[in-house]
Amino acid sequence: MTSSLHERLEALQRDVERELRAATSPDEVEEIRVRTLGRKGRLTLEARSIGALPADERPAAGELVNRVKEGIESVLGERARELAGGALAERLEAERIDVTLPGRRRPFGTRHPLTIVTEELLETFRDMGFDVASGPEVETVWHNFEALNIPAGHPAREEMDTIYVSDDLVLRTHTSPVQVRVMESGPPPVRVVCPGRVFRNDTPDASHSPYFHQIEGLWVDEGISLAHLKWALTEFVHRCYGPEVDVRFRASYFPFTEPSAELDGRCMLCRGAGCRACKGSGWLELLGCGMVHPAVLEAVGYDSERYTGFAWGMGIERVAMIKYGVPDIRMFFENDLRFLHQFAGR
Amino acid sequence: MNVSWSWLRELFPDGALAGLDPDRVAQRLTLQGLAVDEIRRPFAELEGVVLGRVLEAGRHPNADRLTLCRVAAGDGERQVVCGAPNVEVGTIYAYATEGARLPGGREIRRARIRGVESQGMLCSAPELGLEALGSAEGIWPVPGVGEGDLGRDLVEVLDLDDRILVVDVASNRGDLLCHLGMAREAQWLAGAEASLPVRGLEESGPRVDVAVEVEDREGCPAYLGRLIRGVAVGPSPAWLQVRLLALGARPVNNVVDATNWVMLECGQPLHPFDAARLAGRRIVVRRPRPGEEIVTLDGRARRLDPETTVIADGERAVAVGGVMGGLDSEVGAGTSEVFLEAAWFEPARVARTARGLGLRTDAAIRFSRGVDPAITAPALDRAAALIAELAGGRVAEGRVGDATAPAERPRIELRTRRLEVLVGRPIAEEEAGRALRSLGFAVRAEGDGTLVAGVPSWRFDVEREVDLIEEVARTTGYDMIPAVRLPAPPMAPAPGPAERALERVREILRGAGYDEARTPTFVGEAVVEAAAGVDNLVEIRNPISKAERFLRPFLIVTLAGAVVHNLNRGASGVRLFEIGHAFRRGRQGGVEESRRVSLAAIGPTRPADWSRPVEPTDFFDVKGTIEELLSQVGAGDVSFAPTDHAFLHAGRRIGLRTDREVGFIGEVHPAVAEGWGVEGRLVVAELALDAVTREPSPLSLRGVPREPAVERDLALIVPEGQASERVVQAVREAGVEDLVRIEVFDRYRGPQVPDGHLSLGLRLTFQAERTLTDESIDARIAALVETLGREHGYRLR
Repeated sequence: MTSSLHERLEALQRDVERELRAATSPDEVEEIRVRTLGRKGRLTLEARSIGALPADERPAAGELVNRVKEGIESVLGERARELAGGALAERLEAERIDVTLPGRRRPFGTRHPLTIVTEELLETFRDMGFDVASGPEVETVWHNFEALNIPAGHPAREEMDTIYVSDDLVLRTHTSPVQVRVMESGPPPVRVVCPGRVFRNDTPDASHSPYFHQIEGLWVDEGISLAHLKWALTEFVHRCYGPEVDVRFRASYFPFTEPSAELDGRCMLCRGAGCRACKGSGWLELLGCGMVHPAVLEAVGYDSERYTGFAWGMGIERVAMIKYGVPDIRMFFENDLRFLHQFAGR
Repeated sequence: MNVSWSWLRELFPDGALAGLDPDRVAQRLTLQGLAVDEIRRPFAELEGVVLGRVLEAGRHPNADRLTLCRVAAGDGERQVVCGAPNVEVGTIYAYATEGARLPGGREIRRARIRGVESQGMLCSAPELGLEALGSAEGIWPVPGVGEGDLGRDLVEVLDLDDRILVVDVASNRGDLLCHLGMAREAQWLAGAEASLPVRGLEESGPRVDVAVEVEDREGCPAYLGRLIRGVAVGPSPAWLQVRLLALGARPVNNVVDATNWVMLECGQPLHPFDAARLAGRRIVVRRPRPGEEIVTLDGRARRLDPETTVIADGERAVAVGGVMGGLDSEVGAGTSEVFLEAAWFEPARVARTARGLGLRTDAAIRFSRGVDPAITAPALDRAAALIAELAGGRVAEGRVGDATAPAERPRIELRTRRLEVLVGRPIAEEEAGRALRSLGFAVRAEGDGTLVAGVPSWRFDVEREVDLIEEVARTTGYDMIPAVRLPAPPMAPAPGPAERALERVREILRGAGYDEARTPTFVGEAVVEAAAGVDNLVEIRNPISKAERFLRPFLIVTLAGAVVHNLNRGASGVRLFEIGHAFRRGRQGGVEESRRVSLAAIGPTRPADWSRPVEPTDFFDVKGTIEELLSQVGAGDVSFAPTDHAFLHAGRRIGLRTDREVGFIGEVHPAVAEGWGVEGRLVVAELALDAVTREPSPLSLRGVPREPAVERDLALIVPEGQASERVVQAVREAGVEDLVRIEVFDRYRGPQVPDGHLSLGLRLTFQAERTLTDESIDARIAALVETLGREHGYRLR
């Protein structure tokens, strides 16, 4: 009896396993489960038949049925999970997209190259301890000339090709009047850089524009000397153009500084060999600088015996032209998108 | 200023510049403040060309047009076939010997010309690279050479191998516009003193019989003259012409060339008159008579400004003092008697006159920068002697004229302590003194670290101690100064609020897809006229071009130009912004200047992609950007209000206000857009930055609600033309409890909406600290609808 039960159960298990192998969906597995383990399932019926066995055989038969049941449940579950997984995979496959298509972008705009350069310069000078100030583009003749030791009739006034709005108002020819305004507003120490647009009555060509931008700096305190100027501006050149760039200071003339100098950097394009950009000299003029003229300090009421200072100024377009190889200053004001977009990400 | 290397060497004692080449000197001068822009070879290279005299010229046996010449060239005679029509027996020519090399790589070889042997060639001036000295039509008779020069190399005789240093001279250094001045700057490097070569003057014949009267002493503090009789005006010797040419001066004749020579040598401009043309044999220095005119050397009639200093004879103006001579009294071929002028004119007056006449002559440039008053008399003598030498005249006895003594030059103290403070390195009294002396200062050491320097007569730019400090610093060399780290400030400065706000505006607009632009400040009449209604424009007095004589009243005017530029180059969508200044005429003739940000957008809101159609930029796109910008920079007190800018579409524009209008948003008026060259709808906005760039107020956080919010949608039928803002306002004013947000989410016109009306969809959000039941919300909505119906005539769709 026991042995025939045993055989039947084994046959049952083999049937179930065969059917499961043939099943193709979780639903079929469920159907097999009901047919085997349901209320009227084959195994359920076998389990009930145990009650008809003699009392001493029942425990062994019960154990046998339970073991087979566990085995069947285990293969059922396994097959169900297997088939369910396949269905999910099918869904994923059906939902496949072409991930190599480009994303939906809302492109950012670009910063203007002059903004990029200005910010970079401001950062450098801020690190050295300079504040930032700005002033009006229409200036008084006093701020633009008189206070800067350029009295009426001075040849520098003529040379600057000033654009006049009235007898007393000009479009500032340089950013230096901002320095005057800063000094007028308080006593030393003064540490300030002033970026801004300036104007000259120049006919536009590849290297001239009637409007362009300058950045100007000023440091006034007790005991400031040309030696400080040399350090600060050499440092600037190394940060802006690279630490390998040699510099030289050569004497020059500006009405508002004395002694005055021009700072040249070894031409970055030809490395000093001489090219068109440096007119064969191997040096590029980078900026004008000098010790603030005592007359300028006196014009704003500073004690020129006690305080000294240095100042410098440079064209921002020129920096950008050197750094990025821009061949024509007018490109900055055309705003051609094909030009501007080359500065994306900077 | 062009400087001849040979001339510079000639001003130093023999050998003082030995061991120095032009490059080395140029480098030093450059560092010293005399930037040498270029070192030029003035002439093409020549080899094997010597001076040769034609001893005989006969017909070529086989050619009518050729001459057979016998040429003496120092070491025997040669036979040369010459094709030029102007061969003269006895004249000295440039003779290119066998093997000579001419400019352009041309090589001269022994040749048979029509069967006759020719040992070289006689040259025209152009064949030697000296186009300015003779034509290509004939060979060049070399002027001013003699028997002793035969066979000598032309390059050596004429100094064709000279180098020209092109020096950039600062506007305050008139003293550097001559070779003597340049030589003084080289004295420190040379370690020797430069001086003018001696030029002896022999006077003979009757005294000068031209009278000089100076009426305008203010304009002409010194006027001196000499008379040279019996001159033969002709070409200058070749060496002199060549040197003038090398320096960029055009040789004219021996008299004029002599005055130019002396000017280039020592800086004093001189003017020769044909004395026979001076009416009454008088020179009167005066101001012009009302309406007086003169025909200047360039052949142009010029009306004289009352501030001019005029040189007149007994009758009329014969020269514009310090600027240019008159045509009538010009020295020419027929001149035999020269009255030579050397004067000192008031710099500012000359500058003004020259500017007024548009004549930046060599003389005017020098006088307006200041000529050494101590050189006037010596220069006159040198020029008279040179004229006599070149043109063969006799210099009459004595100088005539009227000269007030020049103002005494100051003596200035230089404290070596002060020198160290400014320069940043100690410079000993002795070294500083040496530097100043090398520049011509008379220096006395006081023994207490103070030097007293007498300023030389030619240095008008030195007035105070700091000027001396600069002289010492640049002469001893900026390269000697160490670099010393700046004392660090206690705290590195951070960007201020205005800068930070500016940076944020920039980033927000970039984020919205706008590229940053920088556009011109100037606008033209046409642009402004197109934008009718823009008044109070600021006009420039001296515009670059007539077409652009106003300062932009709004950035948008010039930003639109950048949009057009890009549309014309095929851009389909353009979004630009600019931060810059705009200008209006203010009260009392002043100018109101404001820093503004401006936006311009046209075309799709973003580039086309594979997944969605593009949307055209419209008013609300730009308005949304501005609303977001305002909320991001915390400009809570800016509100919308009507605006009347005529350059905007009357039905598509709105203003931005605080206590005044601070900006606008709108579509550019179609007629204006057409005037600007824009096709399509250009939407713009502009905002005064000071209205929005402020520090955010401190934030005090409200609690986060625990209860979920409840949303209800409401569709209201409202009259068409009713501003949606009014409807929202009406809902807000109804004072519904717990209503925290009202948004317009739909606008609809259609079958269920009566004519002349539209349906406005509002989304109402309720929020409270307790649970809101549907019943209580329903009741509030019902009450709201009732109120809206009663007070505004709105009803539910």
